[in-house]
Formats: sequence, C-alpha cells, structure tokens
Amino acid sequence: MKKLIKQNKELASLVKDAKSFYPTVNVKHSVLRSVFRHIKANPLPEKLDGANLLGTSMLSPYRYLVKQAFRMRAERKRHFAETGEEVLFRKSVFYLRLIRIIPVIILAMLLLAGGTAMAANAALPGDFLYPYKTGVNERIGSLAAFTPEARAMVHAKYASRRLAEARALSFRGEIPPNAQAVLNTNFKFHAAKALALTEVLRQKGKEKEAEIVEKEFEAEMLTHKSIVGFDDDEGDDSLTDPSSNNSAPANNSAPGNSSTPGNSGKGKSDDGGQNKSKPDAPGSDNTRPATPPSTAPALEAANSVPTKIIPNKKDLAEINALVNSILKRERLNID
Amino acid sequence: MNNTERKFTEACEEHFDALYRYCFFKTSSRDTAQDLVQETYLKAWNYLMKGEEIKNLKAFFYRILNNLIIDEYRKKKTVSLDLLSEKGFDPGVNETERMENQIDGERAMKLLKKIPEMYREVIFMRYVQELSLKEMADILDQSENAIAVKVHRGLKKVEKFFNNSRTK
Repeated sequence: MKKLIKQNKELASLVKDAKSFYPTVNVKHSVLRSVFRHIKANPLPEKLDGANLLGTSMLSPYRYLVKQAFRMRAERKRHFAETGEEVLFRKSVFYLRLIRIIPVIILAMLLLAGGTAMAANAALPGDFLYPYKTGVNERIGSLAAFTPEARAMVHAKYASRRLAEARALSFRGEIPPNAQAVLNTNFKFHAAKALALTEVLRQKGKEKEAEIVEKEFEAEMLTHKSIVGFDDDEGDDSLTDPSSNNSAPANNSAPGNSSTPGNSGKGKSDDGGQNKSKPDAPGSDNTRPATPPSTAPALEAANSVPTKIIPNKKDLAEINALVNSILKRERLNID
Repeated sequence: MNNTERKFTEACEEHFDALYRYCFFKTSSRDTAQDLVQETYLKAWNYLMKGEEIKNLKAFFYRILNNLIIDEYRKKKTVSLDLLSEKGFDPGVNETERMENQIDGERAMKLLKKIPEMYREVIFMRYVQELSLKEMADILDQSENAIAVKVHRGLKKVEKFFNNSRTK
C-alpha cells in the first residue's frame, strides 16, 4: 500500500475509498442467514463427518484471537455507524483486552526467565540458584551446540567453570557441605563429555578440530591450575583414594610430556576406528594424557587451596570410565 | 455443528464484504452482488457435500463468483452490455441508508472502472481486495509471474491515465 501511494497518489486514494465500500449489515446478515439455513437443511453426509475438506490451514491461537477481536470491533463500529446505537459486544471487549495482555504476559515471563538465568550464571554451589545454573542454563547451552566440535567446546567450558567455582568458593572462605562432591561429579561429567567428543572427532577424521578443542581444554585447565591438584596428601578429603599417594609421583613426570597427547592420539585413532568391539583400550589411552599435563603442574599450589576438587587418581579413572561409556553410546549413535 | 461446517460458516462471514465489493465492482449493482455472493456460498457448500476437498476456500469463492458474474453478463447481453454498464454508472439506486463514506466508496469504484479493462481486474484484486499474487494466480488460473507483470503494466497505464484526466 505504501508503495502504491508513492507510485500513484491518485490511485491510492481511490483504492482507499473503494475499500470503505461494504454491504450494509442487513444485507450481510440476510445472506449469511440463508446460507446457514441451507447448510442446516443440507448437512454433510455422515461419512464425511470427520473428513478434513477445507485443508489444514491452521491459524495459530493468538492470530485467531487477533482476527476475532478486530472483526468484532469492525462489526461494532459499523453497527454504530448505521444505526447510531452503541452496542456493547462483551466478547469483543474481552478479546481486545486479551490480545493486548497476552504479549505482555509472555514478555514478563521471558524477562523473568532471562533474569533468573542471568542471576543463576553467577551462582555458586550451595546457592539457591545453582541447580538452575547447572540444570537449566548449561543444559540449554549444550543442547544449543549442534556440531561435535561445538559440543566438546561447551563441555570443556563448563568443566573449567566448575574449577572457577571451586576457586570462588575458596575465596569466599566458607564451603557448603555438599559443594565439593557436587563440583567433583559435575566436573567429571563435563570433562568426560569433552574428552569423549574429542575422541569422536578423531574417529570421524577431524584431527584438526579435535586438536583445537584439546588445546582449548588444556588452556582452560591451565587457567585454573591453582585449584587443580591431587588430593593425595590430605586424609580428611573424603574422596581421596589411598592409592593416590603412590600415583602422584608418577604423574609428576607428566609436564614433560605435555606435547604428547596429540601425537599419541593420532597414532591410536586408527585402531579405535577399526575394532569397534573393543573401544576401551584406545579410548583410555588417548584421553588419559589429556588431563594430567595440565593438572600436574598445579601440584605445588594444591596445598594452599582449601578446595581441590579434582582430580585424584580415582577421579581420573572415573573420568576415563565415563569417557568410555559415553564413547560407546556415541558410537551407537554414529552407526 | 461439525468442524467443516464451522470453518465454512466462519469463512463465509469473513469473506463476505470482500466478495460483495468485488461483485459490485464488476456488476455495478447491489442486488446482483448480494444474489451472486449468496449463490457462490451455496455452490461451494454443494461442492463440499459431494465430498470434494477445497484447499483454499477464499480462492475457491472467487472462482465461483467470477464464473457467476460471467454468466450474469451473458444473461444480460441480450438486453445490451452497454446499457448494463451505463446503468452501472447511474448512481440512482434506491438505498436510503447509504452513508457518506459509502458514497465515496461507490464513486471510487466507478472511477476505478475507467482503468482499461485488461488491467482493471488485477489492479482491483491486488490493491483493493489485497489478494496475494498466489491467490490471484489461483483464482485467475494464470501464473504468478504473468499476474505480477499485468499488475505492473496496469499501474503504469493507470499513471498515464490519471495524469491525463486530472490536473497536471
């Protein structure tokens, strides 16, 4: 219409006038009445009762409401113009209010949800909104990532977030009773996901992407290395495995090999693709080195930090087990 | 009242004004418009009763109405087509309850009728009835492209036409 006005004012004004031409209410009602009568007198045959003869052009409920509201308002106006009497169509008022209120309600709900999400993002374990953060925000985040690369990245990010939270908690001084266990489990979950997805990438032949993700993951770990340590020296940590005392020195040598995981991963990825029945061996070999290089350097710092959530030897084993189980599932999905 | 009946009656109500206007534009008679639109509805319903499916009810109404209008022309042709159209230009129809804007509307329609016949219909359908190109293609049984071209040319013609007839 705007375009038309620009092109030809004369025609546009004629068109506007012509649109204001409509039948009188009487005419309309008399025609509709006789049509209704005809329909009542000649109903559809019974066999067509459930048939969908008029196509499936469904209006969305809201658009339907809008349409109804405006139609009724037009009707009311016309009635007023013709007879001069103001009739209150209760329904029309109701619809008009409804179509105004619905967007407001939806907007308010969105804002509320958004606000909660924003607030939740800053939550720490033990906070009221923390379950919202891990349960809703992060789940949505990981669902929103479609490619394996993106998903691996997201999980790596979340794993490192757990570390950041542990640090924040330790700065705060007071540590809620369950926090350590919660952080630990959650970290293991995300770390395992990230590692498993890297492995999947490798098996799909996306060596480059896998390496990028791995580097990113390592970098994230290094950022928080002050918290990442082995719980080998403190007996009071409930998760500590007695055997980790022995394993800590062994892992100490890892920093020197920090460049190896990529290479060893390359070497073994072929095997992983070939013998699908036995995924455990390559999986654990590939993924195990990915964490220790970054975690081990933090060993010295470990003592100064009250919350060391990860990973001791037992946790590493758990992560590996998780990785393998995830890999098994992913493989099923791929085939 | 089952689903089909409800949908159908709702559509009847919704499209009545537009169909009536369209028919009035082509026949220049309120009575004919009323009769033909009613006839259209009944025909459409009878078609449904045969168990036929209608994908786009709006376009279907227009198609039936178009055919009815053509039939109407033929019927009156024996009298004289010129006479009919002349009669159309005569505003002396007995309608006491007509209002200001209604008169404007009728006047506008009559002016629009001066557009060359080839383009008159498409321009009316496109701009007054606000039909989409796709709907028009359905109704007129032509390709969307052909109709778009027609509308475009029609607009150009109209420009010349109104510029000549009006101040300028």
